[in-house]
Amino acid sequence: MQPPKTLTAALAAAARREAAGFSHLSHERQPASFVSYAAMWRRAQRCAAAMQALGVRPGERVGLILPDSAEFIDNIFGAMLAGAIAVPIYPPMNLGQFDAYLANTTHILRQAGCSAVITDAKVRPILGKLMTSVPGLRTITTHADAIALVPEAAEPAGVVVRPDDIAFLQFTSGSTSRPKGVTLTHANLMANIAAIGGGLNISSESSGVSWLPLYHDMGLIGFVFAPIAYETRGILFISPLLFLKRPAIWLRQLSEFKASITFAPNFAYGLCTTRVKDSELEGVDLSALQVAGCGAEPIQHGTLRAFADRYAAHGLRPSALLPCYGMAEHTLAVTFVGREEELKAERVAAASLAEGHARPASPDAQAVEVVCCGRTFPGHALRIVDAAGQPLPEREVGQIELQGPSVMQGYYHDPERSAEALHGGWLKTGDLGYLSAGELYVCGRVKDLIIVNGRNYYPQDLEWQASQVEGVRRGNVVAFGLQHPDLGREYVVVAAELRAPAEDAAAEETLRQQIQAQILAALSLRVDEIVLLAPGSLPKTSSGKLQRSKTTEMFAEGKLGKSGGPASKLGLLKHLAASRWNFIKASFGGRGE
Amino acid sequence: MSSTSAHHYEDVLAKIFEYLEEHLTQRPREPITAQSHLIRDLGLDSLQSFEMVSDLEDHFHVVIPMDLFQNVETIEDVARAVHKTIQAEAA
Repeated sequence: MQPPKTLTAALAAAARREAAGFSHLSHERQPASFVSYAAMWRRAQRCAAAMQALGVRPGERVGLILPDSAEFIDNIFGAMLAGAIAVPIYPPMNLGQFDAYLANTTHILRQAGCSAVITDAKVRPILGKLMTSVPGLRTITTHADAIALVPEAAEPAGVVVRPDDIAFLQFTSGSTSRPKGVTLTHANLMANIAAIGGGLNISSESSGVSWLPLYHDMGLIGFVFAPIAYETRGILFISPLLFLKRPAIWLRQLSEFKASITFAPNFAYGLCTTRVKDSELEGVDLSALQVAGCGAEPIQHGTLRAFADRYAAHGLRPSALLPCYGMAEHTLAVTFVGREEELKAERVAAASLAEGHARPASPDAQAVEVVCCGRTFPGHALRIVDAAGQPLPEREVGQIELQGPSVMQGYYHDPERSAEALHGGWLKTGDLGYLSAGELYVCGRVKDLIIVNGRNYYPQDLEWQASQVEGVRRGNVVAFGLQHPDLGREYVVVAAELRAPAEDAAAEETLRQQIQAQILAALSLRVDEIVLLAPGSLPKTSSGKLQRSKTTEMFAEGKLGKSGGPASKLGLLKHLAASRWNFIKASFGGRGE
Repeated sequence: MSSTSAHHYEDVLAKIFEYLEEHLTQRPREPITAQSHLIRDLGLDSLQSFEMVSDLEDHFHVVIPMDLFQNVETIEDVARAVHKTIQAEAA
């Protein structure tokens, strides 16, 4: 049998399985609700008919702002079946503070040129202003109102979905005012899904648990689209906030569901090591787990090791942990470590890394531990190039470039930035890495690199060192370099939020000296200026990702730490959801905190 | 409402103070009060906030709906949200 060539054909095929499908868990005290593939197909058909009833024509863009995971899935397939292009948009975290949210949403809807938005009754009231701020937007309606337009068994009329049709737009952070819509066709998605399925050995017997948000590529493609294409036995979706409040739920559900596959960013594995109590793990058995994937933010070897050590007692095999690298511009996955391979990391000499070489460190030298992310897939190509675009040999650090059927079509309605990213037949990832024995090791982001006297410094390394100093808010540090005309080199700045204000000027000075000494000892770099800030002063995207370029801009304009600070207006829920949400909008594999 | 099974608002407030007393790594300069702002005054980071919520759940044997936290900024806001849940679950 020919494998399906579109996602809609894949869902139609999966619809033969009444007993398999998705479960959705949104409250601890309520059972998960089950939707079979067959029911998903019927519900998606009805959504498609409803969109047609709303006047949505093939090729038009439809914004989806749906916190409920089942409704979201119905509508993204509905849009495809109507021949429309879905634009998933993250729901507001905090209904009381929606100015920034609305601004961001407006930019996305404008860039995509959406003519309709489907949302729910809770979010609908705050979206009113969009009608006037987004030209071409004809309707904002709730899912319930939309499907009420057509009978339950309604089907869309006259649409043929082809492999080269755009399936949906995945918006990635970029700057708030100029969001980038990664354009993916059905062919892109089916190619990456085939690669993922091969790499992870997904079959109709597989089952998964995911708390990843569905408006992010890892949650949507990895846990909605790929399982449908393989008609897997089942996936359980846990609400992301539920996971953050009680990480043990993830582990308990993995056990109860006898799940074979799960994925999460590095920080989630850290949370399960530090924040889960033994009493919450009674009876938890992870022996069915074949793949515990880790991606979407820089991977720390120590974090995964500690997770493996703690959960060995619960049947977890260390080889289930599977680091990977990926990005939205490459649909989702770029490389996987081989199944059943042990975790692998290299200790690289910090001094050599500063010069762009990845030399193994001697036992007593300053070293950086870099985790192996494995190889790319059949039919795909990966290379490392220098600043001039020339391919580099193994163990030389350069930009990672990609080629193959998973590479996006471009950024939607943005020829300029599409041409920048897709150059000479290769996708420039903006990430730095090196190859060793044909396997990829990821080091950082190209544009964030700080270069002083010809030596390269990774801001993440400075930030991590500054975070080690007592009193600094861990994960709330930004390091950057500025061109300085008089110095003839970059002026290096570290901006750090403090957990509490320093007692006096002398205490502040002590903190500065401690940060300086920490970075100097670890990286042999003298920082030119250390800015100490109140909590919440550093600019973040609406999803909580620290904005290094915005911080640099504010510093250059003398505005850093001068305003009242956005924290004063934050509600707890938004705050709760903020600083660890980096991965949601950061492209998979981009830098986290 | 019987006072043996139900917790008063003051009990909740006291438990939050106790939690912060134990978990704040850096003493804030001003004494902690019910009006202290979680982020501005206490420097609580997002994961600590989540941890505090789950700790309060364990202590009071309740499940706190996340939407109660939509406009919470200070310690007393948290106490009110938790107390509301306790009352709702006791009813």
